[in-house]
Amino acid sequence: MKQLLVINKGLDMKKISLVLAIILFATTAIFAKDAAKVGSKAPDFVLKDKDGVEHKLSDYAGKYVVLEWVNYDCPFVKKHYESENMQKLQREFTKKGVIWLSVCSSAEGKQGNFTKDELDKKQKDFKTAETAYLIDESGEVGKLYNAKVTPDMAIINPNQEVIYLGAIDNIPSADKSDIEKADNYVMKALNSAMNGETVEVKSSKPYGCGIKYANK
Amino acid sequence: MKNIALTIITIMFAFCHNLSAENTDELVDLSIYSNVKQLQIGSDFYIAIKLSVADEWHIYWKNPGDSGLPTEVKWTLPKGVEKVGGLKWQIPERIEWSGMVNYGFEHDVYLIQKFKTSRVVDLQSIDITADVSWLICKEKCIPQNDKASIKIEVGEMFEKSSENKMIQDLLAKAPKTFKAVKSNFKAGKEKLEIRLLDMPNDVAEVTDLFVVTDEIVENNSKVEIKNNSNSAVVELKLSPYASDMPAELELLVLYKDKNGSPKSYETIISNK
Repeated sequence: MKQLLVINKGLDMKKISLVLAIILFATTAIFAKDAAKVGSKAPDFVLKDKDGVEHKLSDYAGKYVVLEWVNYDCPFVKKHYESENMQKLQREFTKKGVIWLSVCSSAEGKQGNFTKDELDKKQKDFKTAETAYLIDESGEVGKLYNAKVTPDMAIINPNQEVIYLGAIDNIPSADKSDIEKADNYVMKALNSAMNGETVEVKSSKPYGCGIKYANK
Repeated sequence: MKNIALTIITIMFAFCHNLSAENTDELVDLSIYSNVKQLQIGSDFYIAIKLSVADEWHIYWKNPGDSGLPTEVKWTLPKGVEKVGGLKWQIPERIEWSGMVNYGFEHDVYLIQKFKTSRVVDLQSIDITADVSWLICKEKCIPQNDKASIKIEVGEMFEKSSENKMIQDLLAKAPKTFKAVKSNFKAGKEKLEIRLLDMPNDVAEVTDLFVVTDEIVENNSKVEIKNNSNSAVVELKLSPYASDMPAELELLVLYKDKNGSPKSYETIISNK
């Protein structure tokens, strides 16, 4: 009898361990979505654009995708929009078939989180030319891509691998007059990759305003 | 009636005070001081720039951390006056929010520069202008700049200014420069190991460390310090942007001396 109890206990422990292992595996699978890394598969996501249309990253497989973290009230973003530097890039590369997704990870009530009307006006004034403007109020996608500032850029190739993460260029400043002197990493990376050449600068530290994520 | 008037005045005062705090031109007040009122040609002197930062706002250290821009000073100097060494910074604060870490100052901060004068140039007086630029942030960020000038008389006698004591006190508290010969670093796959094998004689315990060189470490990673006798090993998580490790790293090391007093030093270490 004693022996039987021991066996039963052993079985119970086994069962409990199994259940625990399953729970652990399930939670890991849910929460441990790896953050974006250059050379690795781009983490997939679904976000709605400002008109409520859903965009799933993996639906754009076969195309180059640019992710641009944006906050139109940040002086570093203004530098690239008031000079039309960003729109020129958007126009040049969307014409070549690139999908350009501007992503706003500003939480509700924080700087950069605009109403649809405010957004329409700002985008009309700036004559922006992105494929879609995606709303990431929870900040989940921003954090998945380790986006810390605006502007922060990511480039994904047609195989859905991350080929560039970081700054738009190599001069960290809010001064428009620096744009001409700067090396535009995004332009260079896209041109190299699209011509079958190696991307020389694969990552750089982005510069700008911290993203106004939700306080958690 | 008196009470109503008083309430109205109080409300108006509070309202105006709030307005002035949000007046972006008044977020930083710049002033400039020297430790000398009059100097003899051939002697050295210091210039201190004070940035008074509005409540709840911050400006950035020379390594701004995850976002922001370093505060910068451009000097306009007369012929015969030259800088000696780099700008002396105060120890920064870690400003943490939304999982990000910035290095900066949420209060008044002084930046100090040493200068030397040449005996070859005949100067009647020395006019120095500091063109200072900074990014000031609370929730929003504003890039700003301003200039501050100072005139120092040149004469037979060396005369200290009334700010001399304040500047000497600030210099005494500022990180010292220490030339490390043996200390080194090794970058692994994910971690950076810093071995402080030679340190100032009065170090009892290393308490904190800042990597001044930007883009090297994950700013929100824990600074793990193992103190040994006369040496310390510090481990930090590498930044995802640290693709090319430089041959040298600039560090700011905070420590307690043998009396338990907080002190600091700046040093450059190599990967050998």
